[in-house]
Amino acid sequence: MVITSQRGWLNLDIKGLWRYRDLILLFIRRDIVSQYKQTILGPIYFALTPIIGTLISMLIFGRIAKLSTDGIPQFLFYMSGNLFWGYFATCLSAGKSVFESNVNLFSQVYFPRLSVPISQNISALYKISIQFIMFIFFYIYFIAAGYEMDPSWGVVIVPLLLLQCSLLGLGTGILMSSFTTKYRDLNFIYRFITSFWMYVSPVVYPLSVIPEKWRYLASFNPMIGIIESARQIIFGESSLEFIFIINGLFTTLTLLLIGLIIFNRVEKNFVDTI
Amino acid sequence: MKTVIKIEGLYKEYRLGLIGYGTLQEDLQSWWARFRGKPDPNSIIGYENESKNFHSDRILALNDVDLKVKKGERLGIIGKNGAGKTTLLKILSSIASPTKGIAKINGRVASLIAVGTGFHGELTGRENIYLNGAILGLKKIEIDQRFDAIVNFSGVEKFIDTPVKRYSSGMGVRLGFAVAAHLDPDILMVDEVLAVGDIEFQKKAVGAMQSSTENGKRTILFVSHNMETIRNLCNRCIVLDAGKVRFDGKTDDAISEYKRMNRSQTNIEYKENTLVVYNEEPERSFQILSIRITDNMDEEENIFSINEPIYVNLDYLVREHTINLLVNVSIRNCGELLVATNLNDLNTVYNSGIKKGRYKALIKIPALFLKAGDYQLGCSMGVSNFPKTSHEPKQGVQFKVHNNVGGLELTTFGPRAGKVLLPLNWDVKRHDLYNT
Repeated sequence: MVITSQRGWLNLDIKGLWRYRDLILLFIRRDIVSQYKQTILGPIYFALTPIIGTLISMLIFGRIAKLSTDGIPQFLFYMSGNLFWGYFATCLSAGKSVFESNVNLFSQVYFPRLSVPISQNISALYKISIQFIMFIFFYIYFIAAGYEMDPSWGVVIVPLLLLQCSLLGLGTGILMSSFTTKYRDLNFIYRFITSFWMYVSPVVYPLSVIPEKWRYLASFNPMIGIIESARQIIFGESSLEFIFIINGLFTTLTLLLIGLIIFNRVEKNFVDTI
Repeated sequence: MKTVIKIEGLYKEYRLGLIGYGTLQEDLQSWWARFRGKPDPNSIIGYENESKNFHSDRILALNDVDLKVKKGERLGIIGKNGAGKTTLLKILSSIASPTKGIAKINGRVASLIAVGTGFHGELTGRENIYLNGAILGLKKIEIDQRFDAIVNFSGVEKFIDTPVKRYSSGMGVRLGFAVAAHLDPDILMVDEVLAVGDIEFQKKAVGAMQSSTENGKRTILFVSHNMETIRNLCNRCIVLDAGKVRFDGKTDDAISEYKRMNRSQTNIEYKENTLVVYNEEPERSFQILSIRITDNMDEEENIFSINEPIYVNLDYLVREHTINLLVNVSIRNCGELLVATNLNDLNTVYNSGIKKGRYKALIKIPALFLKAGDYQLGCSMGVSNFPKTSHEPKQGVQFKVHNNVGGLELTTFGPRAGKVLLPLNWDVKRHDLYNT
């Protein structure tokens, strides 16, 4: 092993990550176990959060703002948006806080730093899968109640959509963490960006409400492609165009790549600046 | 022997002070310079003498360090706080990266900057062994193989399925060290972690490290302030001072060099150990003024060989003629009282009292009396049956006794039972030839 001040732009140490795969698995286990130890209801909280969020959305955006849901039952519509946005936000904050929440650990021992946000992205899947089970339960309930739903075999790509959420959250998160480590001011920008991002994504409204002239610009927001693909598959109801998926993937991969490069450069010296 | 660590011209620069507007400006300048392949205008490397005041907020934690370590060597690294010891280990274990220079390492490295890194209170001892082992670079299968040995070593078998948050701090340390002791790397770097934990466990830990190097395969880099441990463990030692290697050679020579450096710089840390001066308290009718420990050359010293006498120099003041006054010296080892000796309870001075004046007493602790170990020495003055008037300062002096006698280790003095080694006079005669 050679230690120098230099490090190549693309020297990402994927091998190192692979060597530490057992650590990633143990981190995942730790995250899941520690989250509901010493709680009475345990994993039930995971199921409750999106339901409560959905009910609030129904009240504010459905009842008060009277936003359209393209004919999809409000409850399922908001819940589907919240599920994907929730997972993305978890991944984003995991990446964003990687240095801040691991100062002690990182200044005592070296292991590939990326293993922390990666394991958090994976452990968050546990939460999201409980929420999906809840969603399926309500979905069946609404079909039984006589609502017209047109699900397609495309549901098999839902894991791919989650993977895109994860990569996008990771890339953006570690990119932000690379800057906020040294300049804490950027934390304010982070809060601004996340809430802005949520409102330009079709979490509480359908894609159809976005005016035609903004569509092309909006297509670079990967969350539109992700959430609307899901709605297309689950409800058979969306005004998604192919360009949203292509441009969304483009943005995702670009942010991920930039994030990895910058993170890689900040990682080696962050102990000195935190 | 093969060289496993080779360090050439290693520098590490730190910026002190706050991060603010100026920081961003400097960062942009440095970044722009690097981008064009020019030297960083804000770095002090290479500019040390010309512009000392220019960037006073920058320091060199490592300043042109060159070092080669051969396979199987046990290298001690000593130096004052801030000399760069930990920085060196952090760079060698990839936690921080150097500002300039290169280090080549051959073999698997494990570094112990703290024990129990990444322990999670909610997880059980068993789960934490796995987590901690993985953080330190072990694969799950490797931990499986070592698991029983780790649990045995730690001595917390009974609590292995209890969450670690219920452990005492000592148990946590032992568990953490047990994992560390079973890492089995080619190169082990240890930073002061033995300073925690009880003495028994420290001994066990040092023993484990010693035996792990016996086959000559393991290389150890060991940072400590405990000269005794360094002396026991290391066969080579470097002295770091202000980021530079000041001495590189035999452990004993390095320790003397380190002491000599400290003495010339009148280091407070050192003085605290050999000399304690107490504030004058005029309302007392008598008091201890200072305690000093010296060697047989009357030099202040706090590390003694087992076959050296130790001198306690006592300075005390009697403001009023006091009857039945006692002056007492006590020696403790780990809080256990070993020896308590009174100046004057066996002679007539006791009854007639001590007259006004300032006194100096020299007490000799003979050679081959104290066993190897850490000792605290305290003094007190008082009149029997009047404890309220006693002067019993809490702080005393500390010193160490070690088994090394001119480079040889007298192991026979180690495991002998009893609290002290009292060199008794044996009068032996053979009175029968015992013919069978």
